[in-house]
Amino acid sequence: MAIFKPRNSSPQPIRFVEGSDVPATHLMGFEQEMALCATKSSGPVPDLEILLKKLCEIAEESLIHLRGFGDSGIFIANGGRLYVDCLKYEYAGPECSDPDEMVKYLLAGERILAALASELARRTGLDDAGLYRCNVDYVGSATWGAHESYLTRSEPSKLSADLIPFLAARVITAGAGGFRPLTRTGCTFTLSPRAWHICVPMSQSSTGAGERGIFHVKDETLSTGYHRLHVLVGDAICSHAQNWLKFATTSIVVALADAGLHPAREMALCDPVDALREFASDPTCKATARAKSGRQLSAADIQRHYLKLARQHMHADWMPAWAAMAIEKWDAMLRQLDGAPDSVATCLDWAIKYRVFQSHIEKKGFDQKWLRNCTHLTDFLRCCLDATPSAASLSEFSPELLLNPRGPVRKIVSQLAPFLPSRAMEWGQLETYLKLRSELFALDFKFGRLGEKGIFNCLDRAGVLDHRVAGIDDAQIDYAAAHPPALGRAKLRGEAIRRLHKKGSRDVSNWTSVFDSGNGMLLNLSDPFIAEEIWSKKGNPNTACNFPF
Amino acid sequence: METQMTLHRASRQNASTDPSSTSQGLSQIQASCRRLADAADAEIERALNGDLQAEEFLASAHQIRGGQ
Repeated sequence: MAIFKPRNSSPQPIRFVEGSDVPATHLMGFEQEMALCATKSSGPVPDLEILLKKLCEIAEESLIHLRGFGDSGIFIANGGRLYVDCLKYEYAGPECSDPDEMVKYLLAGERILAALASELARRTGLDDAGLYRCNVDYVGSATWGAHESYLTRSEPSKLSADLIPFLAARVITAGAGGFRPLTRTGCTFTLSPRAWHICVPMSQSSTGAGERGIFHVKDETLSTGYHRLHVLVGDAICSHAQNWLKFATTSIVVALADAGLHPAREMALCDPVDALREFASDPTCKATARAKSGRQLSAADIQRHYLKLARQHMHADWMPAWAAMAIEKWDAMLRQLDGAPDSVATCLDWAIKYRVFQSHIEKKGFDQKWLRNCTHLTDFLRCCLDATPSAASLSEFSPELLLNPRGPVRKIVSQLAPFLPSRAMEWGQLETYLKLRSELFALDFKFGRLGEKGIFNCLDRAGVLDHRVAGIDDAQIDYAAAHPPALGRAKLRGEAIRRLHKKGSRDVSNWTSVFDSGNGMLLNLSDPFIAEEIWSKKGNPNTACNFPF
Repeated sequence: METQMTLHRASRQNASTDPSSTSQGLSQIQASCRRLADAADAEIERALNGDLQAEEFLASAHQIRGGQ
């Protein structure tokens, strides 16, 4: 059994495996990247860089914070961090010990950011400014990550084989939904647009096009005595229940792997990236992929395998205290997915979007089959244009160009014409298709907007969704916006930030320490489970060396 | 109005009473989907009738992001 080792009067003592310093409390965290979009009717919208800088200024003015060391944004009183990276605004939550906390701090951050964006619009004379959990850019090739971190005892690279099948299979429970990106003409629904930016089973890179892996081997520990598994194959999602399940199930699977159980022994996939995309392409969640064992496995089969193992070990002393409850919810969700997409249409982001898109397509008088046919046709025409020397450089893909009697693909257009009626298509619908495609992409983009204008939030207010987590209410989210979690180093960081901020000094923070410049004192937070503030004398980190901590 | 999380409800049901496995469950699911679709229609209308047409919105959003 796990025992409690209260190191001080912490209200929720950290659980440790009896006779060891292995934590049964599982710390985890998240980073969410968001797109900033603005409109202005009178005059041009300022450059993104200028707007992001302004957003940072507003955050510094309005939030209790300490500057991050170097040029790393700010750390705020809830123990999290706000910063700009690669022209993307990011919120990294504080270290949390259970999925309830993870959801609370995610929602708290989103609430903070929505308010910052509104203030940005007000101060800069914009008609509108918003932050979007959009995952992908349908016009270009940009993508926004929703990364997770899990504290482990093992080096991440040793966990790759144990986790890759799960990370590929969790798309049916963790996907945001949307359309396949990186296509110039197609419009194909997917459970996860980010899946098409994941190109290799394992990678060092988290940003390079064609280099992102299902498993990220980076091991930036940000602590002493532990490792940090960084998960980059994930979408930004809105559903509270779905976020809860994503964090809980991944944490449990990481715990199984970290305990040396090799949970994926029979689940190794022949081609994990291909499997991820197969699973992501089927809203009924029945698609299968070939395992190295020779079996054809669905994503639910793979998840059930992990679930079974988790159930066998749910009372192990290295399992988190909330594991039994999470396992029941996980089981229930997998059973519910038997009837996907309708059975999960009010609780999982991808299924909610599927229904929203379906509604719009039907309202326009079309169906998924027609959309699929149009996708095939336009993809084919795009390939023809690319293969035509005189037209290969044309970026425009318009009905005028395609249907021009003297256009570059006129012969193909006339050859295809007799086959269109049998597919309920006609050339005159080309413009309609392209317009509908843009509308669907725009709906996806606007679905996850933070604040009251987001489509998800509007549907939630209308009372047609069933995604809330019992026990997480507005008051708790507001509290989490200004206060750190109850245990672990995030608690100490948040409390120190609140105390030092009042002095308005040049104090700084990062994940592993806080520096009190006035007294030249350093709070060492390299132990993620530290429960007591221990300060030691240090020089000014801004002048002493590059990395003072 | 805050609703109970689907998962909490579902976890209290055994496999034989899974919503999608009974006719009553199926009609409940269909009713939920209809309510969602009705609400979605209104939101779609609002979302697509902003200052910018969908294509313009996507292009401007792309442009302001620097087209990475």
